Amino acid sequence: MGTRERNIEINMDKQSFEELFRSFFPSLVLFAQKYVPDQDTAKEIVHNVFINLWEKRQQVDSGSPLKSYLFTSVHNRCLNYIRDQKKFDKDDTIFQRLDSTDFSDGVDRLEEQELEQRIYDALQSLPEKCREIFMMNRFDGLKYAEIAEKLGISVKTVETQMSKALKILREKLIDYLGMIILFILTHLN
Amino acid sequence: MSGGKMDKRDQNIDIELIVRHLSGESSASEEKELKRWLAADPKNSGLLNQYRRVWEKLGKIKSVAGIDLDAEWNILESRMEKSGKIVSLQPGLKRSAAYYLGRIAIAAMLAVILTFSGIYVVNRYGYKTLATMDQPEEIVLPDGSRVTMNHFSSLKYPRKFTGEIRKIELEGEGFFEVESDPVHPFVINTRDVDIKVLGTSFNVNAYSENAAVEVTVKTGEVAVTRHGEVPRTIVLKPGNRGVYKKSEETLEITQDIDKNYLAWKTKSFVFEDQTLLDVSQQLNKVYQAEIFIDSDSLKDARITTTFDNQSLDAIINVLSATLDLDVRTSNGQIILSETN
Repeated sequence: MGTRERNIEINMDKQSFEELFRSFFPSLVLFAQKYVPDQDTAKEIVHNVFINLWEKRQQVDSGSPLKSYLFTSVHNRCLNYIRDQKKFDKDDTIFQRLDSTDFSDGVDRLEEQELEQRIYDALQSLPEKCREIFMMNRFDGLKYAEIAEKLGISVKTVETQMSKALKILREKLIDYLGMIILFILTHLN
Repeated sequence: MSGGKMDKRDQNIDIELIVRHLSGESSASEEKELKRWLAADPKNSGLLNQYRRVWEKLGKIKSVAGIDLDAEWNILESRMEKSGKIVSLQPGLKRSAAYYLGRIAIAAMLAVILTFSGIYVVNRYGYKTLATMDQPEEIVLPDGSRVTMNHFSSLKYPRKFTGEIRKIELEGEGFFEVESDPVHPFVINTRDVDIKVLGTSFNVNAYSENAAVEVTVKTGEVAVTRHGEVPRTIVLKPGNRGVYKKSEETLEITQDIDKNYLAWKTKSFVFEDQTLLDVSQQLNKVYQAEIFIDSDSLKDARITTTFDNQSLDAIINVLSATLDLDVRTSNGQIILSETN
């Protein structure tokens, strides 16, 4: 937490590398998924970026922010992947995908990515049991009763944990939600 | 104070109803109730919309929310080893996903008994867990020690202390008044640090979402030990605070303690030449309120005053009279601005 903007250290040890990987992997995969068709490909690309960073960790320019290095690398590898695919793929839907991802929307994408990172971090900050219950409902679509049965707890507990989760998430994201309102207003004028 | 409590309970019903609505759990009659509630006050819609936005935004990360970071790291690590450039370092003692799943499974085996706003969980090994929701609660442990628990905190303790140490587990924040028993030290386990005492009173703030764990001693002596491969212990005396910073894994002693660190329990505040912004943030934490200041110059207005166990309404009245503020409420928020 709070160390996202640090610069690359010349002698990155394995522990700080792991920390870096854990904090950025999910949002980099999410980012790659906007370019490539499936999550496995997205994961593979992000893994390759990290392997590459690890192998040349002593040559990376220590002045460039690590975060933008990672996102730029993933972006470039996604474009390479789409180009390679195009050679084998007569269907040009993928090529259209490439066209629609030119650099003009780069800024929006970074803002969007910032938001996604915050949402992901907010979700991770929930107490474990609370997060588990919340994800079962929000992402797996399970009913309260189904969750209660699976975990062997009462429906009432599921309900209070759901409320707790949403309360915490709202608290963590409220600053950002304020920003959205401002954004919409300024664009209406 | 009773008026404030009533509001709080109404608000809870609202949140449960909202969450049921968003998660597709609400019945037809609850949907009607929600509509009536929305119609009752325009600020209610604002609140619903905030929750709805949070709910919808979460959909954006659905595809990665379930990623198993431990498994992904293992894949990368084995590739790193193959790349042959790795300088072998000692493996970190990370808790695996299986560990957490195990904990969830254990939690699932517990029987649940509801009491007041807190939840009591009694498991078959003779442990009890008290979990508070949005009201602090006080309990007396089997040895006579008293614990006041802050919002959304939980405490696991045995029905009866046996063995050499009196051991309990804390998530969140609590103020402890420990019965003296030099033969049986009292040990509090938190996720990052252990706290050992003989008989004393002190506050532990160990919410897992916070960046640091803070232990503040009122009377007696307290030892705090950091977990990890190289444990480190500090001893705190009255007026000391031990701070464990999670990101840096540092454990240090400071005497720089905010006067109002116990305000969540006492509802007593001492403000000395503090900014209105600072004051509002402290009130927000203690009263679980949302006070906003609508003007930058107002945020820096200085305040020197004390409050002793007063309701939030009463405090806001004093502030607005002193600083000549305009107070309005909107979407459950209290907005302070300058009078025109």
